Order: sequence, then C-alpha cells, then structure tokens
Amino acid sequence: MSGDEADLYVAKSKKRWVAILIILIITLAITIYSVCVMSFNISFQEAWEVIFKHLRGDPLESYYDRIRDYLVFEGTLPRSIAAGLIGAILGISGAVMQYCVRNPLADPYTTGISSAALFGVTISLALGITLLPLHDEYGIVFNAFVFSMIPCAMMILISLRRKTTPTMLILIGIAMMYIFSSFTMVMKYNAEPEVLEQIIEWSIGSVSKAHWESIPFLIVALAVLLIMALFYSKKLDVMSAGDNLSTSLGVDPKKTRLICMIVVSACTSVAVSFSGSIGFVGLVVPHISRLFVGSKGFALIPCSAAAGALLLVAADTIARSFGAGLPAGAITALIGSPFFLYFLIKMRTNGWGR
Amino acid sequence: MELNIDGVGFSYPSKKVLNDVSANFEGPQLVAILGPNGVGKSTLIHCIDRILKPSEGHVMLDGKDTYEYHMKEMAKKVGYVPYASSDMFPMSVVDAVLLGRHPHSNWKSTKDDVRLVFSVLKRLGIDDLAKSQFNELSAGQHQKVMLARGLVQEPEIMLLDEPTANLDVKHQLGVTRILRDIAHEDGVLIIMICHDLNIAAKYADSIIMMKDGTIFATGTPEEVLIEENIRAVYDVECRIIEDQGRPHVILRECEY
Repeated sequence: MSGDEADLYVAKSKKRWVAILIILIITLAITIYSVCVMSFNISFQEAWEVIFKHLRGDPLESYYDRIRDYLVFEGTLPRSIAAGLIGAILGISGAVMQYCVRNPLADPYTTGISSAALFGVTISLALGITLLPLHDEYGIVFNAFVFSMIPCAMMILISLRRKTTPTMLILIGIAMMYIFSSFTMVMKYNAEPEVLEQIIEWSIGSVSKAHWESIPFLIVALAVLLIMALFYSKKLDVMSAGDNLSTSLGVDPKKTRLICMIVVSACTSVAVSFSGSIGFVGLVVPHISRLFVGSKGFALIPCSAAAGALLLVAADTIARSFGAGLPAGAITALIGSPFFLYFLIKMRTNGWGR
Repeated sequence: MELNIDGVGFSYPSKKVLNDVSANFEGPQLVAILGPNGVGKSTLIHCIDRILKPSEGHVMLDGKDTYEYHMKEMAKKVGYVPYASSDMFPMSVVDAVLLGRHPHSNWKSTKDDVRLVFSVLKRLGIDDLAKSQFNELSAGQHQKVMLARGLVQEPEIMLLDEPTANLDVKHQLGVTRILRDIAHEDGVLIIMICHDLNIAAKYADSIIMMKDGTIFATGTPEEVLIEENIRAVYDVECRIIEDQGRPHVILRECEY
C-alpha cells in the first residue's frame, strides 16, 4: 500500500532530527568541558565556580581570584562560544554555497572570501592601511570584513552584465582567490618577522582573538544566515536539479542564487573577520552532514550548523590543550578528515554513492 | 487548456535557431515533435516553458502571454521533463521525485505529497526503486524517475524532451503508452520530442515535423508521416505501410 510506505517515509524523515539533536548535545558537552582547557592548571569544577561567581556578581577578593576570573570568564568561555558560532556560520555558508554554485567543492575558500579577508588583514598589519581609523584590532577586523565582500560583489557584477553559469561563478571565485593570495604573498615576502608571524596566524585561522565584544556580531550573523538559509532551503533543493528544471518548477535560479550569495558572503565575512581563514569546515562539514541527514536543505542546513560548531569547538579545545599559541585552523582538518573518510567509506549508500 | 505558439523565433548570438514557429493546441492529447538533430525541437520546448525567452513572437497560455504568469502559477500549469537530469547531490528516488511537488507545496512536503509520489512510482512500475539513490540508477530507470517528477507536478501541459531516449524497446512502448493514457485519462496536453518515427506513429494523436528551425508539417500521423515528408526533412528514403490502423515507417538506405 502506498499509504503505508508514505507513513514510513515521513517517520524516517523525522529521524534526521535525532541526528541533529545528538550532534548539538555533543557540541554543548564539549563546550561546557572546554572552559577549563588552557595552559594554566584550573580544574573543571573550579572553572565553572569562577563563571557562576562572575555571573552572580560576587566580589573578587584575592589576586588569585581575579587571575582565574580573567582566564576563564574573559578567556576560555567567550572563546569557546565564539568557536561554536563561527563553526556554525562556516558550516551553513559551505552548504548554501554548494547549492548556489552547484559544486560540491564550494566553500569560503574557493569562492575567494577567505583570501580576500586575509588580504585586508595583511595590508593593515604590513602597511598600516586601515579603511576606518579604528583602534588597532577593530581596524583589522573592519578591513577583513570589507575586503571579504569583494569576491561576491565581483560575481554579482559579472552575472548582472552577462549570462553566467554556476561553473563560471566558482571560477570567478577561484580567480579572485588567487589574485588576493598573490598580493598577500608579495607582502608576506617583504614583511618584518613579527608581522609575518601575525599574518600567518590569520592565514591559519584561530579563535584566540574572540572576546565578548565579538559575540553579538557573530550571533546576529548566525541568526540572519540560519533564517535565510532555512527560508530558502526548499528553493535550494529545487535548484540542485539544475537551472532549467528549477525554472520550470517555479524557482528563479538566478534571483535565488543572487540573494543567497549576498547573505552568505556578508555573514561569512563577519565570521572570517574575527577568526581568519579557517579552512575545511565550510567545505567538508556539509558533506559529513549529508551522510547523516541526506541532501534536503531543511535538515541539511541545521545539521551543517551543528556539525560545524562541533568541529570548531573540538578543534579549538584540542588546540588549547596543546598550548596557548596553536591556532584552531591548524587542526580542524586534522581531526575532521579521518572522521569524514571513515563515514564516506562506511556509509556509501547514503552519500555520494559510486 | 489552450496553447498558442504565435510566430516564435529564437536566436543565439551567432545563430538563429527558431524562425516564425506557429502552432495551436487545444485539449488533452499526445503530440510528438519530430525532426532531425539540431532543428530546434528542444529550443521550442524551452521557449514554451519560459526557460528561454523567445526573441520574437509570443507563447499564449489560455489566452494570456506566458510572461504574464507568475513563475509558480506557470509551474502549476506547465511541467518540463529534461532529456537528462543534472541533479547535483545524492538523493533518494522519493526525495528526487518529491521536488516535482514544489509548485503545489509551500514550505514543507505533506504526507499527501509523499503518497502521490509513491502512487506515481507505482504507476510507472518503479516503486521498488523508491529507496534507491537517484544517482545510482541505470539510464533507463533514471529517465523514468524524471518522468515521475514531471507527473507529480500534475501540470495541465507536460513538455518532455526525448522521454524514451534511454529505454529499451519494451520500455519505449510502455512509457509512450503510459504518456498517451495520461493524456487521455487525466486530461493532460503532452508534447514530447521523439526520434523514433514508429513510436510516434503508434501512439501520438498528432505530429509536428520540424525542419530548419520552423514547422514543416503538422497533422495526424497518417497526414504527416508520408514518404515525401520524411525524404524532405530527414533526407532518408522509406516506405510507409499500414499496421493496426497506424502508419509504419520502413527505412531504406540513405546517402551518408
């Protein structure tokens, strides 16, 4: 009976949410644990005592109290929260970009966003050029934000002037990536050693620069991105069947692509300008998520957000346990790739198939 | 339903593909578009469904220019089944077919949508593939799934680009017969591009024969499928016999 099969299908679709919930719970657990992971010896219990003390507004009596408060409440706690938010933004942006340019290799890297942001950072660090006369660090963040919008602006300008295919869009992105990388390379070659060190930290990507002040920006970016992506999720599904069919099914592929690319670019720029170019998350997290919840956007997008958060929180926690200086971007791929390969091979019927 | 193609022309920057194509269709029937490769058959179908904008002329749907319809309104009226799918990401057959319900559903697919998908799969005899991955199917199965996607769209007019191209003889006959039955029983105007003259002759209610970007002949299979037309359009010699009340084309040698 087709009725029974339909019931079965609907019931099975609901199981997707269980997978997402499990990922969220693991992420939360790691985040809660991670506040005590740092190069100073503070126990898990101690760390949370410090946080509750701060939230209650208890006076910090001793010097030791103040140090602990600084290390946890101003250090690991906002850093872990920022890692989760940035990871979620990168996860969603990768998923939406892959739909938009119809290419499984699309992510903030291959669309040029990351290297443009890095270029903005580099001119500020190496040449002292900031677009707004802001306090040091904010000048850098603002530079990164503005420059990271350029590749998307370029894609939009070209697609308004002539007919563009999704493949062309990603090639434009890749060209932009190389242009900005070359500029950055030239400046790196001539940079002072201390400046070079900072540029390298940005290029690897790290959440060590995240403070409480960065978190509202990240929350807004994530909220806007998530709402937009869920709102467009069905249209994105339809678009994955190709432009012609999408037109025939009543979804304007060009318009949808344009709106999604603008929102994704802006929101990713916020994340990238605080973290530098963290690779791997945007590219692989959507594929890992696809293995668990399938290719339907309405489940895939929240799952990519949760999995992105999980990956970056875990990567940052591990990076911190190695010592203060190691950037999270250095190990996202290191811990993510084995999982990805394992699931890709193990769950072949659910994923990319042959 | 009424579909009027009124002096439609289409040009790519370097080449004129369609030239002053006019045709009228009224009521449910199975129409086959015949013609050699590159004659503009697919372009014509794309122009009807607004995938391409005609550079000249209009396509009128129920007395209204197709460009006056909202995209989603249009999608409820006209369905399109491409020659080959270009689905990007892995998806189960059910999910892939479910995309066809988009014009009718809002934000989420309902259980009724899913039920319709399963009943269409059953009608096409591919309900056993429901859980398979769309991108792991054979070419023929793939084509049937795309046809299912067009059917769940429940359009008044269905445009198909070579729906039987990848099918073996039995499935060619079976699928074309299903298309004819859908046209007659469900009251759908089905326009399909076809390369097999005898399949068209056997099932089509009317035939459009195209040559050099324009319509060369229209009418019933008996009227269109005659030796002179086939010689003029395809440059192929043939003999027409009658079989079960329909013309049957026996091809002879051709110069190549």
